[in-house]
Amino acid sequence: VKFPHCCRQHISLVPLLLSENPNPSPPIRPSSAAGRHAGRAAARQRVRPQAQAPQGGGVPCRGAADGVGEQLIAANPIELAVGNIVRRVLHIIKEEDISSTAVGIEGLSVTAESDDEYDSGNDDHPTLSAAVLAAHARNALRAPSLQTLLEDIPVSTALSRSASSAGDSDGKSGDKSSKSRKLKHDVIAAIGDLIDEIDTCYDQISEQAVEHIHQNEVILTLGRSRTVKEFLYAAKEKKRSFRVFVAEGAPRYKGHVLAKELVEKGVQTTVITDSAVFAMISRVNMVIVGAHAIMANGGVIAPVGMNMVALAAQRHAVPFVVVAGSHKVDFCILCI
Amino acid sequence: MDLRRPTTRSSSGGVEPRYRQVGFVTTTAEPAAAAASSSSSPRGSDVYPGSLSPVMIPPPRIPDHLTALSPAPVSLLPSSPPPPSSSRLDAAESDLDDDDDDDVDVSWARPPPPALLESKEGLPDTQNEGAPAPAPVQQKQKLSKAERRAIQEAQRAAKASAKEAGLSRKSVATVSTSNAAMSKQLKTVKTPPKKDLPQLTPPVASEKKTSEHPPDRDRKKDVPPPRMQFDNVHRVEKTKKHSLVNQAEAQNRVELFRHLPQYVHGTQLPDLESKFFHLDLMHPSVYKVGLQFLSGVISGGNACCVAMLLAFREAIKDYSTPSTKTLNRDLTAKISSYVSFLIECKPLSISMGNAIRFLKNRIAKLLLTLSESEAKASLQSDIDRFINEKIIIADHVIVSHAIAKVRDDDVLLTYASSSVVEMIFDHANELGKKFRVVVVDSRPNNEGQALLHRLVAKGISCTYTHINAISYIMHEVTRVFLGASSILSNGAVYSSVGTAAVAMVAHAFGVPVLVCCEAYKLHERVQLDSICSNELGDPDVISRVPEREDLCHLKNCTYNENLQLLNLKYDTMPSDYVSMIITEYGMLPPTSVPVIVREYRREHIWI
Repeated sequence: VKFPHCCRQHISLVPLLLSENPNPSPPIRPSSAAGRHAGRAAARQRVRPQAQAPQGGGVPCRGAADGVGEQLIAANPIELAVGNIVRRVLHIIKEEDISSTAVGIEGLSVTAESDDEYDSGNDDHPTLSAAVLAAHARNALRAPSLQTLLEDIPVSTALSRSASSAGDSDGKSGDKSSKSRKLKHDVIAAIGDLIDEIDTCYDQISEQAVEHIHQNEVILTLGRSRTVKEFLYAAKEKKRSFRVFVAEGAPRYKGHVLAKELVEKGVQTTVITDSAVFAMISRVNMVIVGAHAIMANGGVIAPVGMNMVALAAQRHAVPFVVVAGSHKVDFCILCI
Repeated sequence: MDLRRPTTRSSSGGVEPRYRQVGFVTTTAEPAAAAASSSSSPRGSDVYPGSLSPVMIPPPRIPDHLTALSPAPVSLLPSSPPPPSSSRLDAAESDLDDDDDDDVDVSWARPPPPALLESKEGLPDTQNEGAPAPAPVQQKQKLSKAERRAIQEAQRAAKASAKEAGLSRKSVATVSTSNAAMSKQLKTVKTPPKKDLPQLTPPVASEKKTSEHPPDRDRKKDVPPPRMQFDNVHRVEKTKKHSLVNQAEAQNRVELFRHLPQYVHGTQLPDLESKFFHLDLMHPSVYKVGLQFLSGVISGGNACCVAMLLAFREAIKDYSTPSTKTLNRDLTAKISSYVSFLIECKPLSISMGNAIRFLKNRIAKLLLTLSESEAKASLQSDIDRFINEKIIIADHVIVSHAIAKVRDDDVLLTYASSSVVEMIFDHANELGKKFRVVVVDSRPNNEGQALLHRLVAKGISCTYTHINAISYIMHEVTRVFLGASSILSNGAVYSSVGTAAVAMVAHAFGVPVLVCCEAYKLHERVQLDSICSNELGDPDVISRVPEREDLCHLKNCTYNENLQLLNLKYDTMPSDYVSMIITEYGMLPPTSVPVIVREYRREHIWI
């Protein structure tokens, strides 16, 4: 009975994802930094299993995360990064649940486990290609589980001994509470790692600044982006003498804020109006802009006016660099 | 530069040195005393020929010398005004270099009798009549090489000026000796000036001078004169000495635009207003137009051009010729001083430059037999005809051409505000066509808002947006109509900043771009980017966001040495973004602009 409920919740995410495709920009070449992060994130995301483990312990946690995620996504459909984080949290929960299930199973051989999972996979997904994908996902996930299983055999043996000595009813309740507590702890630790990864993405992107900004470079940017700011700060700290043209980015005028921040850092800055972008781009060596989201097909959702800057850069053969963290890479196209 | 001018003058006309030497001879003693009191370099160069020429005078000239001595005391009085006008000519950088030489010659040729003046005036007319005839042929032959030759001649001029600056006094004596020798031979031989030059150059001029003279002549005819570059410190200081407007250099200049004037805004207008009641050389109507330019009351190419021409018309009406001058020379000098004043208030647009060139051409072509009132009436009617034919009727013809491109259910996009584009929309609305207008605007001028009000008042359905959102609005646009400040020979459109971006996005979306421009705004110059020639506005306007004080993040950062604010006024649109150019000569591709420039020039001369 619980199985169809989980499947229905999972499918309900897809319409929200479909509605999150407003006016994607034309394909723009992403930077190597974003590409590298996107590749890594895509590889990690591809491991995500399609089948649901038939365990009662994980269902309430996953259901709660699904509900909160739907609320967050519905609150602001444009914020695609929120959807990305929600899906990664769900993935973390599922991953921890599967690993705890593997640890919990006693006395089963490896061959028997794989046969059982494969049979249940066939039952859940009639389509052969889906079953094959699920099998591949499970096989890829199997390796760390095997290591965990081998390492935890003495622990499980000790647990079973204490259970039998204490008595059947008391032992069972003890096992259940300790298992759920461990699962929650693991999920919280994994989410902490995710938060750390998002926080350090600026530093990791900035480390590549000196590889792209040379001496006496002229850089154009539009509006304000924290990633761009950190990128330029890193280049300045490496003693690169470059100058930045900041288009003011009406009607929010975030370019004024960025210009002020760059001036405080000592960067040679010139503020121009948005209409002067075409006039100035013939003297610009590189365009560096931030992004709101990066789609699976390479499209970039960016502040208003970026399409004009991109067309001008293409006209004058100016490299157009989009700097963004991997958490902004969205998989709507891939999911569709 | 100053030492180079005598050589240029002598090369331009063969007859002129004779009379100039006569002038020097007759005023040797008293101008020398006057020159001793002043330390200006042009007069210093004049002293040397004067001191040497008595040695060269042959004995038969003694009776002429005695005759010339009698009017000397009278000529001293009118000699005080010419130096300011001649120096102002240098500051003005007038388009017609021949006028410069003629004016200077007039000032020095004042002592000779009127008979000599009349005979001298006849010869320049002959030259003027002969000069335009071969111009079209030469222009056709040299169109492809004009740009290359301009670069080479600019380099030669730079080298020549550097060498002449380094000349010592002995070199100056050598130059004056050569001038005296030329004048001596000219007195002996009385053949036409063109035939004299080949005979004179071998014995007198060196090889360098021989190679220099022909390129100078070709350059004056075929290549537009180079514009003033403000990264030349000496030229800027020279201009400042003779300007009415007090200009202070901006503290934070953008290095990329060092060649353009960057002044502190806001200080010129109060200073000029306080000077209003001390006018001595400036006509009140010209002064008023200058103030209007500074305050921004008059904006737009057509409006500025019409206001300037009307001011000149008033000045010509009130003009009276001094008794010792001719109307052609003195009026041209006056117009040049007015132009230099207007340049100080606002850099000239190309349309204004073409109008000024037209006016000077008409003044130069005035017949000497006309009386002063007839000449003034003729000039005023010429100005009226120019305004009527080249601007008003041209706009009507452009509208009639462009109306054919407006259909029902069209969505027309325009950028900022253009008078001729507005006339197109008004006329299409009067014809009952059902269309919608998208007005794209940009900071800091927001010119589209006024256009939006006027269009909505006439009942036209409008959409208003900022240039940043051009990509979203371009999906539903069917035509783009743009005005232009100028169209250059390579088909590039020089217009308000942002026009190029609008055309670029329209081109990316496959929407046709129609540029509406009068033929008098076409120019033979070539420009490849938006930086070599542009105009900079007040940079402080960028740091201010009207009606939203919470967004003024740059309020206190204006004078940080690391921060510059750049307020560009124009940009250059490549010709491949233009689908069609609509002028009063018809609807053209951008590649046909040189044809119109050539035809316009021919018609210009005939008028």
